Amino acid sequence: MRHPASCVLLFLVLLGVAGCSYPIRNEAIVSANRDQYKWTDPGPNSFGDTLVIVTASGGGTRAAALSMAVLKTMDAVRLASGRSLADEIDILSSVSGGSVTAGYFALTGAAGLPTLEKNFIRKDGMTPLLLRGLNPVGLAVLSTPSTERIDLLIDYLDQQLFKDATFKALIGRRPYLILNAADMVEGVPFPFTQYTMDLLCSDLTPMKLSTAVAASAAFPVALSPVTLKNYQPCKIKSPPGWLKQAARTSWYLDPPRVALGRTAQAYASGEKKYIHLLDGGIADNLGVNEPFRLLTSDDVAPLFKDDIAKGRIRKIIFVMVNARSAKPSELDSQQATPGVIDMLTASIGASIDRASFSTAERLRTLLLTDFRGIANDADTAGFKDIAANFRTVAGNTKFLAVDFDAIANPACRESFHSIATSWSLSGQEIDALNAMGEALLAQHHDFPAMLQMVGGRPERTFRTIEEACALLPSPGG
Amino acid sequence: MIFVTVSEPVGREVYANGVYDQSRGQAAVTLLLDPGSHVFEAVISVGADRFVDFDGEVTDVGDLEKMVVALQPVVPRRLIEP
Repeated sequence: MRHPASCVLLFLVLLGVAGCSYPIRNEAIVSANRDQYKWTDPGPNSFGDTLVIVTASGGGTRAAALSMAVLKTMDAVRLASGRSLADEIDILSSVSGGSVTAGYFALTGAAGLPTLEKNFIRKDGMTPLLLRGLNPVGLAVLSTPSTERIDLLIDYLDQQLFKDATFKALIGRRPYLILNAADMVEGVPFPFTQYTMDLLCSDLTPMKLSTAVAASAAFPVALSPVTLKNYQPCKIKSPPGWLKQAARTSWYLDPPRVALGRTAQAYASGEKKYIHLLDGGIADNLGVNEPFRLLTSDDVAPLFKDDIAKGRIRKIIFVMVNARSAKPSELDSQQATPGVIDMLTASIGASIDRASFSTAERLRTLLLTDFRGIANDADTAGFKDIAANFRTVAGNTKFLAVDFDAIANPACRESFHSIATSWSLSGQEIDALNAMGEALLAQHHDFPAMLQMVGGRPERTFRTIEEACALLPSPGG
Repeated sequence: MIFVTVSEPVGREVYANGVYDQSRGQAAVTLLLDPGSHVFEAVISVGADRFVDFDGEVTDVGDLEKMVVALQPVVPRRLIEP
């Protein structure tokens, strides 16, 4: 072949022929006797009766940086055992940008946070993604089914942080990681746990962490979904028993159980052959849905409600990191009809931001009010021990929301709410987020009581909200 | 909230709703449940296999009830698939 253009054309044809199959991102369960990534009881220790849950919201690098700052602050609280409060986190549940931090913390612990900051948070993540996608070879490759836009993010996450690590690397480590995506067809949360993957007859353990993090962060349209294959019918694993019970439960008695059961049944029956996953923020931008379920449902393991009833859990620390964006929009002050891009970004962003608000209130109601309601029910039914145990937990639950809405100064609050949802932030913005995450946790009105409850002692002086505000000028200033 | 006390078989580990990862305790044990349908099983292990040999059910119970359930033998016992 003598003509150079023919060579290029042949190359492209061969590339297209070779890449005619869509990527399969998950594996089937092939054996019942295998290592599995599941919750394991941490065992008796000085913290055995205290459940520590941290949730990290979506919001690109803004969320990754804010949740990193909170974990650093928790790592600076020393306990009598010599361990830090960050070492004692039992559950870490996250969405989108928060999932980058959560995934890397679960893999490396607090020791990995400097690498997270250097290799991801302080890096311009947008330019490499755009350059990889928009060069001629990149465009050609993306035009084949075998490579999708989400692969740009998966590859970048592996290159910078995860190095192809899988969930297998998390076995035996704490915290128990829950990365949350959303089923784009059902609009419901899809937590990456083995309990969820069992419904698809799929093994979570060999899945790359970068794939699950990318699914959690697959912002609609800009990135393509992560598609999982449903391997039902399953010869190795039967559908969970609770599905039958949920199908026989009246919707009037337990609507969440019935609704969840219907979706789960659609997975387990094989009716849905492929599950397309997008940014978890579509369904729950705080990452609180699955911890909520673990605390309230009868159909899961671990069953924390049972542990509370039996007095095995007597205290709960729940740190909820919310990096919600609330940037003022100019659309409200212009008569001109918004264009297509404005409509698209507003509709996606507004629904994700609203999905941050209602679930936070539900969780607060559960942790601070429903436990007392369960205690009253138990008293009425004559179960004094159960009642006493729930009252103990209700009185020893600290719910610390790290949220820009807590910033009293309106100009400062607007500054932080206006930080872009992007994979690229300035050094100044990251310095400010580092300071504000620390300050919002340490200055929370329940922080001193929480320290006293766990016998924790700060190793350093934490920054104040005012000091953090000074690091980020207001948008008009 | 429903409070179900599984009274029999005494001393045997009880599981609920087909979730075999976590025992609910040894019968007689009181289970704290949301309203709805629930099934309870006592499980024995024989070698590497686990079998359901006792079970019982409450169907669509409303809120704020309490009851005592004695599980009944399952014959032949049912193998728990992994």
